[in-house]
Amino acid sequence: MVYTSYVYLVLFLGMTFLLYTIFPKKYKWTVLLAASYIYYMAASRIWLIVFILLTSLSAYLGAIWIDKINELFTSVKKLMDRQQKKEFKEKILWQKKMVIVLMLLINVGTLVFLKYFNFFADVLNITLFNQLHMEIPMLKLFLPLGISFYTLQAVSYVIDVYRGKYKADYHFGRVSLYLTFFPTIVEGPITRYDQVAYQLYEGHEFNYVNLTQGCQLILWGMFKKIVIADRANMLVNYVFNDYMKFSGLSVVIAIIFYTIQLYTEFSGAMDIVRGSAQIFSVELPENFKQPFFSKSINEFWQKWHITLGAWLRDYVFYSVSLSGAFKKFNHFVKNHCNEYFSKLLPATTALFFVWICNGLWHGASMKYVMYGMYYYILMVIGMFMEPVFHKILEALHIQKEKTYFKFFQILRTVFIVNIGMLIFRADTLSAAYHMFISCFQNFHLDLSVIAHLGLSVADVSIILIGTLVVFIMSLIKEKGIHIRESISKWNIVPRWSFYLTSLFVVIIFGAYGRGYDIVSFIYAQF
Amino acid sequence: MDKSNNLNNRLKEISKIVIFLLICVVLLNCLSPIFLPKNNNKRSGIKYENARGFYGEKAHSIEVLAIGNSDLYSAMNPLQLWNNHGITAYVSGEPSQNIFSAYYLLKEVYKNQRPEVVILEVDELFSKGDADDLDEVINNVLKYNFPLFEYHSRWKSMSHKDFKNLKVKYKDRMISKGYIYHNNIQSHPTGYKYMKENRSSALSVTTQLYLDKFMQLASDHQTKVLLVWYPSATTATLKRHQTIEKVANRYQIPFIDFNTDQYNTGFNWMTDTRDGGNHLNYSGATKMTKYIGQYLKDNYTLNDYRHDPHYEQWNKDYEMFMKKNKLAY
Repeated sequence: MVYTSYVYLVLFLGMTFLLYTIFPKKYKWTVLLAASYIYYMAASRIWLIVFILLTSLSAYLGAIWIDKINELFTSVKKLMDRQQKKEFKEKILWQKKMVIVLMLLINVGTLVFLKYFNFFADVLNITLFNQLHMEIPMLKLFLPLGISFYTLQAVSYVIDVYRGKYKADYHFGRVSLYLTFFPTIVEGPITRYDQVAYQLYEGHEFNYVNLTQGCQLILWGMFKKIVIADRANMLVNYVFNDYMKFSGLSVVIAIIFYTIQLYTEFSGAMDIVRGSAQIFSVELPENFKQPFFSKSINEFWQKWHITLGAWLRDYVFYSVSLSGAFKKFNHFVKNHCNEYFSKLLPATTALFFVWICNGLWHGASMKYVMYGMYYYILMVIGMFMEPVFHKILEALHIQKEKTYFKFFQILRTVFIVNIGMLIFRADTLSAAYHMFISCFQNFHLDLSVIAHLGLSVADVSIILIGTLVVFIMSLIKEKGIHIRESISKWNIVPRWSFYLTSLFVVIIFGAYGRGYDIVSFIYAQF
Repeated sequence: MDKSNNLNNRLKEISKIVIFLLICVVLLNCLSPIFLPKNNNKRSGIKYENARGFYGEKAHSIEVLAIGNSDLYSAMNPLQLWNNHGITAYVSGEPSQNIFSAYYLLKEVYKNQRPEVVILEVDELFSKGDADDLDEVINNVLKYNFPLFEYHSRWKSMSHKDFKNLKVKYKDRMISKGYIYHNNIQSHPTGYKYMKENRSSALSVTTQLYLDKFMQLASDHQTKVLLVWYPSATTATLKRHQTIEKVANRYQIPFIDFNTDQYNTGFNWMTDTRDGGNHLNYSGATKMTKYIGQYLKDNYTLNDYRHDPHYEQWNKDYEMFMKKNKLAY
């Protein structure tokens, strides 16, 4: 039951909304919870629900356990002297850590086993066991729908309780709904408990503005996914699946079209997801903030898949940075290196773990590891070379604030991101390398090649016009204008004409039905 | 006062939603005829023109109408039925057809034909699951009522004529009467082992619902239904056969399954499939059609029109088909 299907949009979302509206305020959350489990069972194998139940239960109990330990400490600390308090606190901290370890073992362990067992077994077989004439057998494993998303949410919830950000929730239904909410289960965004759990739990009365604006957001997402991304997919597959046949501009076009496809598809999916939630007056965090206007890679990753980046920052970067071993390393660097290195080395070391996790999160293959490392290396170079770049700019009398320089920075970022996309999309690392090299072979600026890449000129025109529309909308958003709110202030005739035109543009120009393939959401596989 | 204001506002909002949806329906109704192909041939953009050649046949001239997926149009040759028995048959087979689209296609058939027998190739009854089937139901309902959903991609080939003249003239015939000729051989060496495979054998709720509608539609037009399953190494299993047998018993209609019984057709998986067991080739189709022809002749009251001057075109079509495919006749 993909988010662009009739059964989701017309039947499932419509029925859930109707039931949600007519249910008493106190029990509205039960409609969302039941709908989420029905969605999960309909979109996945029924028995895989065991995994999401296990995660919900372990997160719920783990957080309560930590809370109980905290309560015990609070109740007995008044009866202790300073020394006893210190010793007891250490003991309590150790117990809490054990709960976290147990919780991580259950959830991250399940994720790692199901998603990465074969990958690591393969790596070990090639590197180690091959020489010992041994082999770890490959297993036929099922990956539960959305496991990479709900596991991260469960981990964030328990760690936040551990860190004292908020107290454990004793309402299993609320925790379960937070982890399984049907619009976010397939592709995120990776929400935080304090962002959405209470929004989901408290019943919201029928809200016309939220309903209409939610539908508008869904329509905008459908435009990006069905009109642009699914159409671009045909050209991208045509070249990437047979990359040895292509070189020069054809490969460059395919890479650019993949970047367009991935952005419009993933951000389109997020619009559908956020629109679906808005119908129930639930506001989900944004995952994209005009990433292609970024002037650096660092900025790009703050605007692209924002919730994953924020999760890695809060639960990998900070966890590594605050660990005992890392503090010792920090201390060592400070004592043995100059100011320049002692400032950069710890940060870049902690970042290594962030980017290795980022790469591996996307998939169990060397390609994704390299994808993470590609960005990591570029960022590290950027950090270490910053003084050098600064001096070069000074020597060339280039002012950073000037528009032409900002434009150059944006183009540079787009270029780097496109190479990243090549690694991301190519079947293997060697295919990515081959395609990168072939960009420079037989390169002629002859745009007519576009007509020979598996798409008609009419289809290519629709992609280009659609991308231009997305670009203009992004430009407007970048200027801080809230588009849907602005349109809602228009007179009813132009406003409804605009909505109807948009709807029929999607119906007429959508790449669906005969002649087009049904394209699954790319991030749904992660 | 506040309560009545709230109620008024709510009513106003709901009215706005209803009016907006009504405008959508009106626009869909207005745009659909523009996008609808004006003839039933490939050039006009009709969906699977092979399956829709019945429009071009003389009204009420088709006696046997077969409906199904690609297995059907690879296994049943109406012109062989014509040549051997004088039966006028048409194969409305479409790639990946399902019972939902079959139902709406049959409705279309009844607009200009009154077949005596409808053959339903049952391979299409086994689908991906309830959620996918529900999606297909909505998809087919929308396409049938608002053809814009089916023919939206025609914007690429439309001309000013599509806007000026909204009348459709579906008059093109298909010489092969829906059969698609293939003579290559790619054998399926493991024979009927596939029947023991474990594939889901239950029919989805929506499939059962549309099967009911299909039977009712046929019954409303006094058409007899015959269930057939042509050899299919990629989908058929023994359990699925039993499922269809139950369906046949429920509706009290005959069921011929070439996967469980050879019926002395001489069918051979080494020579009669064109793609390793998924579809039959011309040799396989000839064997299947020979048996089906005799079965139709023995069990139904069908006319032999071979010497009827009104059906002279069928003789010409048969000759053209044989010549085009370089077959001896």
